[in-house]
Amino acid sequence: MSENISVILIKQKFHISTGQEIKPDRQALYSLFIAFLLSVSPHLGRLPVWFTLLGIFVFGWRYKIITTNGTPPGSVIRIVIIFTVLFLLFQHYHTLLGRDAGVAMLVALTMLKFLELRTLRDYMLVVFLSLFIVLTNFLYSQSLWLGVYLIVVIIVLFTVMMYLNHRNRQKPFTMLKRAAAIVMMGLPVAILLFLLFPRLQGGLFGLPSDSHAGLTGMSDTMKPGSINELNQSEKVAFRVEFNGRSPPVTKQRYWRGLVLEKYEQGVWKEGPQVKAIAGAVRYEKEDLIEYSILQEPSNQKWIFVLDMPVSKPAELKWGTGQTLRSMEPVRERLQLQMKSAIEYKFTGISNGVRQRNLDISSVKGARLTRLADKLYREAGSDKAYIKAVFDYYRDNEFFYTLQPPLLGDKPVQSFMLDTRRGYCEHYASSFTIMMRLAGIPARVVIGYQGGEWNERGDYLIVRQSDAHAWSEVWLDESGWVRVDPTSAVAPERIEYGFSAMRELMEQGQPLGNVAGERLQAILAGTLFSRTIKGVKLFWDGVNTRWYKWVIDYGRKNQNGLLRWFGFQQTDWGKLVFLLAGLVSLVVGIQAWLLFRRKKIDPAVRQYQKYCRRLCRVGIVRSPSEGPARFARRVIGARPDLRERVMSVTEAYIAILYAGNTHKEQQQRLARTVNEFRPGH
Amino acid sequence: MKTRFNELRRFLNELVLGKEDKIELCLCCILARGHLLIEDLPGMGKTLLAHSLAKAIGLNFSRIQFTSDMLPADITGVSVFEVANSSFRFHPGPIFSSVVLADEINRASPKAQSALLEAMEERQVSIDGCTHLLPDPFFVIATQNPLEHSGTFPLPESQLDRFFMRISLGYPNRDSERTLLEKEDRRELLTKCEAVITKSELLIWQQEAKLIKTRPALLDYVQDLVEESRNSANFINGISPRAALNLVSGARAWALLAGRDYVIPEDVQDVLPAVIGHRLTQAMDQEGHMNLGMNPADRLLEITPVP
Repeated sequence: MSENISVILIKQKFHISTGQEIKPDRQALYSLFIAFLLSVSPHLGRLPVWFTLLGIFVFGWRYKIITTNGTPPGSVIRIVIIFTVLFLLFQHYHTLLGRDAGVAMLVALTMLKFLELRTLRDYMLVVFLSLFIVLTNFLYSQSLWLGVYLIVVIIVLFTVMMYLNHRNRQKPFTMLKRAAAIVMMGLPVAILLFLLFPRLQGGLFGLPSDSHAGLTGMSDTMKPGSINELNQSEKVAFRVEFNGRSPPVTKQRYWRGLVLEKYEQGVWKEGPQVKAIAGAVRYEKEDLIEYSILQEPSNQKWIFVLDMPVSKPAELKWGTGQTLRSMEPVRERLQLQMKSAIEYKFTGISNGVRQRNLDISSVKGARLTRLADKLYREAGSDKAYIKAVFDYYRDNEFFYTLQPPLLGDKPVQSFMLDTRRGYCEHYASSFTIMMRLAGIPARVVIGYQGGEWNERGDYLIVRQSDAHAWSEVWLDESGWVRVDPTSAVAPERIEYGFSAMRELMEQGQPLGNVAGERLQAILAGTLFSRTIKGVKLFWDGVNTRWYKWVIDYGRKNQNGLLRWFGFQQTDWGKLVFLLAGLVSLVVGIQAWLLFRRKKIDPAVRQYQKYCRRLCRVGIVRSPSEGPARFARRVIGARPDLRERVMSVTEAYIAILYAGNTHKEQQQRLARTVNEFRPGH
Repeated sequence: MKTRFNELRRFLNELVLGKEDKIELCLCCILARGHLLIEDLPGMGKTLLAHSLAKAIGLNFSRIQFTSDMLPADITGVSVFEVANSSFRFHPGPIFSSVVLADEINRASPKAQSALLEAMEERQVSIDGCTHLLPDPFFVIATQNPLEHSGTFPLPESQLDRFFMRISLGYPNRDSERTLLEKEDRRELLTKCEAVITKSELLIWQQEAKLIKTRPALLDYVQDLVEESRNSANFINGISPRAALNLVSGARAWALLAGRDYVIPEDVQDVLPAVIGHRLTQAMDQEGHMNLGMNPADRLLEITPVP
């Protein structure tokens, strides 16, 4: 008996109708199905193809059950189906663990749950599983678009939950609005948790180990053709911010990645790793540039830095020839603070390095050797020889083209003397060989050159298509000197960047002699192409900020933020304490904002007390019952209470509806309610 | 005032037997200056009720029998050329009465219907560029047959909305029917009767009804009802602001009839089915069936808590 009364009291308090149990109907099933599909849709391309068939099979069966009023499959059939699906999954992935197989299993089992939906509890379970599937989408991508989309999906799932739980259903749009309001109300707490929740090392989500398939980047060897593939790709390689300053001009933007010293069978490779000597580079203070690099995942260790890096962040190590590389392949976006000198001088060269950079054991072709001898004899000195080779490129109808003819087994000789068509790799390779033939130490550097300046975000975008190769020669008086033979043939490539040059080539303009203004006009493009470009750059800016401030927000930024608020020396425990305090503060403010409007009239409170007392003797006021009608019913059931019920009701009505809010009236109501004891 | 109400009630109940609750609603409608629509089968006493109301108030009364070939001029009147002073003279139609009984309104074509309904809304008639004011008080009692009957043009929602209330009478109970069968013909009785109240009395009452108090708590309740009707999936269209206004003034008149100078939620609940019933359309439920067990107004009352 007492239990019943407390249930009634709770229902009374929260206006819960005491009517029949809620039964999910057909509409509920359809909306649940749609919500489930929405949460799975980003996974669709990643799941095995036969999932579509499984989905059609499950939902078709379910539909048949509804339309024919049939019964769901029995437990034996269900177990058989589940094991079949698990077997198929194992066949496909060869495991049931890890990210891909785990997600597929979760999706498959949720789908199978549709076959046995019966009670409200089953429906709610599918809603919760769908919310979990929403979360797994972040294991694959953390882009802004996906985030926005998944918030929408969460709102839809909340709407379905509301639909399932409310007996007096509201119009779908009203429920959608309410669900959106609930999600929005959760945002402040979500932001707090995001900012202050103690961080573990790693990304925003700890990713399973099979999460890094299919990343592309530069390879560690160079033979003609390898960069060309990259040149076709518009994918971003990395972005650079110059800490609010403007970037160096395009022809100084050489992003050094690897130094290749070994030439074997027409392929350039890295030499043995030599530790960089501290102080190997001398530079003036004013030539120093500070910048930060946001490296995209490349699955390789190379880090591309502005020529010439002079300091090393703690997470990197030095590679051959003043290059930098990370300890592990770069699989997540990496942000690095760098320092480079635009003007620099190498102080010395070891004998081993000199020998390696003079190695011509693999160079074939007598005509090539004769050419080098002839040019060096005419020039007389190392410097003049470099200029002579440059002039040789310029005066002998060399062309820059992305579709060079094939070279035979003497690639450098056929390029220099016969085909004379190629791009940066051919020029860098042949130039370096020409230097070595004349006894000048020389090597190939690969990396990127140029980059697009995004004015909206004040940062530089370097794409895969900006990949480039150039040479470095050792001159005893100036150290290693960067020489870019491509500039002899296609100066536009260096001055305006790869995309500008390609634009020129596509328009059929000859390279090397287009004058400034005309070039500018060609490069400006039509209004349409400029608009498209502007939108692209804007979106890239938004995305970059998203990654920088949201995805890459880690322990370091957290500590910085806390210090900014005056918290020195935070540890795990303090953080949790602070977080709990702030979250309860925010929730408290929200609760106050929410319930402030519904300030309860003291008269109403008294009347509720009176109703509770009647409830205890089994007379329950229905929420839609007015006070006068309720009084009549009470008197009907308990004629002995007539006098007291009348006086409470009269006083209540007088205050609430007749506007008689005198103090005596309030007191009268309070007194009569207090005296009201309907107990037997 | 209370005794006068009782006299009026007694008078009407003698003429129309066994329909105390409906008569109360009719009175409420008159006090709230609204127009009344009575919907029922032929022969249920619709016309008798309308006649009795007109008689009791003692106002001039005219009856328009709507037919399918009726023209708007048959209702509003026409300008006729008079040879004697060679000018047009306006001959007012039957609508220029304080109480107009529009019998079987849904038998007329939409054109004739709209002539009446426009006059109801504007309380004036415009003919040949002249505006003729209708008398005050002006009260239309329309009767209509159930929509399924043949030869009817159903009133569109926009015109139904002009009616303050819609009621239906239903069959009399056994005792009333016996009295009806025993005693003399009601129509004859009606012709012998004298008016109970005067026009000025009615105008005063109508003013009184406007002054009945509605406290914030009550308006909260009305707004909850309105909001619920708009948000709930049970109904296709929600309560319009005009309907909400009518609901409040109906509740005021109801409170006046009960002898109170303030409105309580029960007043709203009592008048709501008559005021809202013809404007609220129930939605199909999820299985595609109409919920026949409960009419939409009662459903609305049931799902809205009283604050």
